[in-house]
Amino acid sequence: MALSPYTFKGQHAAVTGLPDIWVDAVHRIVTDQTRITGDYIAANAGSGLSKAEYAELVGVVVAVISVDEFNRAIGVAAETLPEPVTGEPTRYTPECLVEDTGYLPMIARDRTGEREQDLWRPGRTANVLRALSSVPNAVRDWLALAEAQYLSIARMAHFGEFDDRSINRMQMELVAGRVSAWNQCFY
Amino acid sequence: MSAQNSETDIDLQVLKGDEQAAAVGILYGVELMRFAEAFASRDEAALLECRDALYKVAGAAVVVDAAGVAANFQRMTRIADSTGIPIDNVETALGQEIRAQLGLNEFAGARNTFTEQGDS
Repeated sequence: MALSPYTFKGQHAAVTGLPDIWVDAVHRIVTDQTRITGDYIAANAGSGLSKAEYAELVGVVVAVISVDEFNRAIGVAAETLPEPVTGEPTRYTPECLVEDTGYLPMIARDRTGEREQDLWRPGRTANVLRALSSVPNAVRDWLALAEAQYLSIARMAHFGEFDDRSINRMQMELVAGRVSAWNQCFY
Repeated sequence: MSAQNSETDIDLQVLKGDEQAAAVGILYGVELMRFAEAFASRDEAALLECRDALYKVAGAAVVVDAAGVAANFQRMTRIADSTGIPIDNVETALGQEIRAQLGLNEFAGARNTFTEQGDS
């Protein structure tokens, strides 16, 4: 029997001045992502972590995770984080946001605004591409990481060998499948 | 798709961690699977051992590329489950067959596809 994530009250250790609600969200994204719910995100939206902020938080956390995890996989220390810089976020909101699935607003499947036409062609997208699109740069960030670590979107339809990779698509998908299974990720 | 493309027989049970299946049709399949599992399970002693084993049979470039893929999916699984997205087309016959064969519907993340959104 699994314990509820709400069973115990407490605080996570943190070295920043981020609000507790943000630290808790980071913790859940990293270690307990399969138990994140729409109600949890909606409750946070009324308590100091808006849905757009949450989307960007997910984008930052998963980007850092994928770099840290690569280092762990090859047996080297994690990269030193850059020093933060002062400034205000743009709070840019893309056009064509809809809430048609999942927990967050996303750019519509069949249309994008002028500034987001690089993300995908109309009608040629998938929920995983749309998931963080309320913060378009979060999508651009992970696409760049995916191109380095796995495959670009353009190469997703290639199922054989790659001249710039030492493993073929079957080998890639074996690794991808086992890591995803361990994470209980259905998608 | 990749097996079909290369006209290679594989055993999909490899995705469930079946080592015998990993040895069918995938070069370094057993070593890659053990490396992926040690990595994902965060068993650092096993990761050290399995990385070394993969390196010995396949070389550094394979280790690096496998590590890249593994790290990539630590990111992608969290994007999917932290945002509650369902899979895009649950109705395809092939998808249903594979999910049944591999028991994927039992995964914790399956609820994002098969239940109402916004549960508590």
